[in-house]
Amino acid sequence: MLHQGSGRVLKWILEGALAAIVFATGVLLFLKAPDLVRGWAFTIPGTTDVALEPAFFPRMASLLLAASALLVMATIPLRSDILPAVETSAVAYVRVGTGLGGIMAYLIAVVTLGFVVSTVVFISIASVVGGYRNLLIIVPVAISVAVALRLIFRFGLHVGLPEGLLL
Amino acid sequence: MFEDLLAAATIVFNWQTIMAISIGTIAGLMIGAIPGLSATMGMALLSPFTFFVSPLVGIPFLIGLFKGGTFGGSVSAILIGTPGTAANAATLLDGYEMRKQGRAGVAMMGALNASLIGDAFGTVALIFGAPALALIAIQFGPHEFFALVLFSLTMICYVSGRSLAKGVMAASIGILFALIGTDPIGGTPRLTFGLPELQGGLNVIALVTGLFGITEVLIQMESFGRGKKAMKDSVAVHVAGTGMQLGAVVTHLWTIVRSSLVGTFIGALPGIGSETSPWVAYGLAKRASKTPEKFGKGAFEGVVAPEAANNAVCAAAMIPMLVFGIPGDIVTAILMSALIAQGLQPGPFLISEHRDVIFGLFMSVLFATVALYVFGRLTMRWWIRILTIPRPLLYAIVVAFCVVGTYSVKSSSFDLAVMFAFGIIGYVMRKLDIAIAPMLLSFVLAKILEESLRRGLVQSDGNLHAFFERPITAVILILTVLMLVTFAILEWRRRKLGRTQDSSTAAR
Repeated sequence: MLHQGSGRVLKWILEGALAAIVFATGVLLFLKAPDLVRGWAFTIPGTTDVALEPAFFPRMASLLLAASALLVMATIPLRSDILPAVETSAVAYVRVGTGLGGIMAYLIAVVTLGFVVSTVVFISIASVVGGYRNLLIIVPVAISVAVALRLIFRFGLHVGLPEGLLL
Repeated sequence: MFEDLLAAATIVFNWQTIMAISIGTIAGLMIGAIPGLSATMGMALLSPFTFFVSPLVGIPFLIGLFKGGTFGGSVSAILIGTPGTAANAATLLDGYEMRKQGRAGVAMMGALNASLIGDAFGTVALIFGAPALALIAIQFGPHEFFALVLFSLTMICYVSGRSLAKGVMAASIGILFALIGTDPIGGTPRLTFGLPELQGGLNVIALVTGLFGITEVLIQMESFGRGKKAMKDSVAVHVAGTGMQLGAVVTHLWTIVRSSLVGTFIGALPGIGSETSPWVAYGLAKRASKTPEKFGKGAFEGVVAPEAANNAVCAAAMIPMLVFGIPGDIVTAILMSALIAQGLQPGPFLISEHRDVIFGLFMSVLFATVALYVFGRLTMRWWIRILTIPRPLLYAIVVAFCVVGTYSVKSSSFDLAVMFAFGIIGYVMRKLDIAIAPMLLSFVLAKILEESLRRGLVQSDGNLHAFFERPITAVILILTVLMLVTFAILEWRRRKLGRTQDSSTAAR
């Protein structure tokens, strides 16, 4: 558990960094917004020429973003609560990182290998890695969920799920 | 109107719709009962299933899910002291205390009865209020819509969590994400960075699934592998006292009615929704009670008041969404995308153009109220078992649902990447204590805001004064300013009170 004082310092750093990044993004987008809009696709006299430019709203939103980041930065000392990010242990972050890697691998597998196979493998591995190791339950549940979803979408809703190299 | 309702009843009461509502309600009860899984998440995951069936099967399923999920959250709040959804947080205060006193069944039945009454109030408001309001809404042009959306955006202040500054920042990010895609007037690609997949804008289902589904899975992963306790919730609870509890309901009928009215009113306001109304109802019930000292120590009124309020919101929140096309909260935003996917564009003309479908939906809402009571009552003892599902297995299945839900909308792998990215964004936001609701609400509202402003300018030949010359627009804009001033005063008072409490604690 972190000392409250150091927790507060970390909070200041994290919130300050976040606000700085958001502020910089807002300013950059404000300056670059016209370049990120391809220009009028067509002009209808009396219609599009009296409406605002397509870049107007992106610029306003960027300005609002930068202003809100400044507001967050200015109000850091007013917020006395400790951030959940500071209270979370390093081990928990490692677990989340592992989980993110697993989900990413699953998404790639869904597209390349197919939904059914990758879902069965993902549910099984994720459950075991998560700490639940009863394979007699995990494997039948994983197969049932994957097959049931595939059948519901294929025959019930007439929507295809990725089939990939396997299924 | 009654003829319409009767005609709708004949359309709705077929086995497909009844099955859809029943399955939706049971699924909602299950999802709501599991801590971490909420009605919002359930709707995000399961709404794509409804895009491919008839509107009077798909939408009633979602309505059942919403109602079931809202009540289901009270089960885990009462049994294990963890609210299934944010809307049930107020129920926890007295519900969990009642469980500790061996009155879990009484609390759960009280919550169910109150939910039924609250639901009925919201439903009546929807059935009678929406068509009446639609007659006024027909007069609305882009100027009025612009003012109304601006008003709704100010309501984001109320869903900003503990920091208004962070809420505004989240809302700004949401607006920027909404602008990705094609400009609504000239059809110009904006902020697409050359990616053709972004020309249609970000898929709202991918965004919601990432922010609620993947983010929640990541949050739950933090506690995986911490021995048996993390695997499932401890529910060594004997649920006794699941009789009808009608006597208790009659005794506290005024509390339930008042809370239902509060929920209906707050639900009908765009932007506030179910998370605020239970606390308002709880506070009012405590203030009006002859025994306020019992609140927080297992007071029956402390359970029925928030439950009546949060269930009243369910139907009432659909009023601004159906009539103005302005979603009141995230759940109605998902419901709105489901309607749009079915070719039903919410707005003033929805009721007149699709009278049979909309009155069919009203009847479905009514039927879902009955279904909630019946299934809630019959399946009450099952929920204890549901709470014992191993968490790693459950959340792995949730990820699979996220994938099928997102992929099925457009059969797009790119949407899976968007979902994953928003899962990470949502996780970072929760870790930095930034509310997700303002981002999502502004994402939905910004598109309507821009379109109505620009169309208004086209109509008034580029003249901005037109926005202040029209009476309805002027009234809404004045209300918006008043809301902002009121919120600023309340925020200032809250901070002042907080500082006073801090200094008195320090003095001690």
